[in-house]
Amino acid sequence: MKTVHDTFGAASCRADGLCVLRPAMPQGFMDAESLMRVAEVVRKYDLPGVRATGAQRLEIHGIPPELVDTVTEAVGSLDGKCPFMMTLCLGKGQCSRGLQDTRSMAAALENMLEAMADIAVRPKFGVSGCPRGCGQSWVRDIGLIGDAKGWTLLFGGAAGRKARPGEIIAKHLCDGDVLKYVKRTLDFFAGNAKKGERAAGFAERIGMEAVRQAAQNPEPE
Amino acid sequence: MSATPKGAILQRDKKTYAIVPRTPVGLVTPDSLEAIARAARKYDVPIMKITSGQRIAMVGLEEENVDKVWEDLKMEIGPAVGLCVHYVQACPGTEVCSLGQRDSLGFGLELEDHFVGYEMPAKLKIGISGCPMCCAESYVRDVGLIGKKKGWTVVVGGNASGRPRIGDVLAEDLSRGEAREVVTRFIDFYRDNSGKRQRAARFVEKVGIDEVVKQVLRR
Repeated sequence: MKTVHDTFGAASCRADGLCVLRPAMPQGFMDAESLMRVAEVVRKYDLPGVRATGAQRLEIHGIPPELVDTVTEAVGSLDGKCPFMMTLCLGKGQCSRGLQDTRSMAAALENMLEAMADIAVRPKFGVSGCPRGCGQSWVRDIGLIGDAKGWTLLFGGAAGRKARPGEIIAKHLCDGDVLKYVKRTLDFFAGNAKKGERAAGFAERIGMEAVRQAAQNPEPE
Repeated sequence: MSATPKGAILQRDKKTYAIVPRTPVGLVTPDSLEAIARAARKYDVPIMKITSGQRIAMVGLEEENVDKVWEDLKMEIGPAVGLCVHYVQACPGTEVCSLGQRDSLGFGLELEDHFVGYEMPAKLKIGISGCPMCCAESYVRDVGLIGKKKGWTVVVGGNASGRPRIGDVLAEDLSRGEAREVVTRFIDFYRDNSGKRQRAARFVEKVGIDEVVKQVLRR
């Protein structure tokens, strides 16, 4: 059976010995077919439940370990393309308030991040198409907020035990710059973080000025 | 603009609508998933997305189809606009998670049943976590609950968006019954004393947590 670590959290085991699977759901979107497959699997194997999570994924829980492979196959593919959790709002494509296209930004980020799967940190991302921040950008390790002039990049937010709003790294970034800034920020974070350290603690320990510099300079001193 | 159809949100193109069926604490059943999938196929719904509120949004419905989709779904409306309690978000808690210390799903369902749709000065979101890791983002919801070894902690005035704010602790070490009572009292106090459209974060900021504690816990 696959473990947490080789599927990026798409499958994991719980205290009661039963497993949890997360079907593929790129950027939180799905179609009727994938939804139908999940429903059929849950009914066929008489599983106790399905949950929509705050990470914008579906989670099938209560799967006996011996059924994990069968269920995985029946569901199609597992969530695993992007090694990082990402929440986003509908953005410019749909929402009447949207100022930037969150979905294409999330896809571009996922493409870049796929190649960075071995990085030593596991930041969570939030991408919002307007300053209302419905993609939870302020309380994610790395957040993006769209406005009329481009993207604002945030770092160091958290919504969990040590809740904290992120701080601004840069404003008015174009799509291409966002990717460059995020990559440099991640490299700096991974290179200097203590084991298990989240962006919030890191930002407080190292200081935001250092993070900003690393994000802006192609060659950090 | 003609009257908005039941439980629908007008989209960017000013023609199509989004709807959000009610799925308390994110729990769905094969029946509801199938109903959503069938309706999506039948009415050609272009976009379906899981939201941060642990719900499934169906986006891009033609106006004439909104009522038909609701009829086919046989599900209740999950409030997504309007001045009321929108949703209760919960982590799996002791029900499923190995770290869970309290039954966040069960308590979440109980609160959802009681509060969703409750009229408020502004929208109100509740996050209920089964342990201090706070996976239900309790510190950044209008009302948050956190399950700890000694009992429930109630935090109020958090917000995750435009002007983020970390919630303040209102009370700690509560039994489930006590926690429900404290949440109810806070919601009543906020409802009776806040200006219209003022979110709980701004209200708590303005009144001050000390005063909120005094007013809510005194009675």
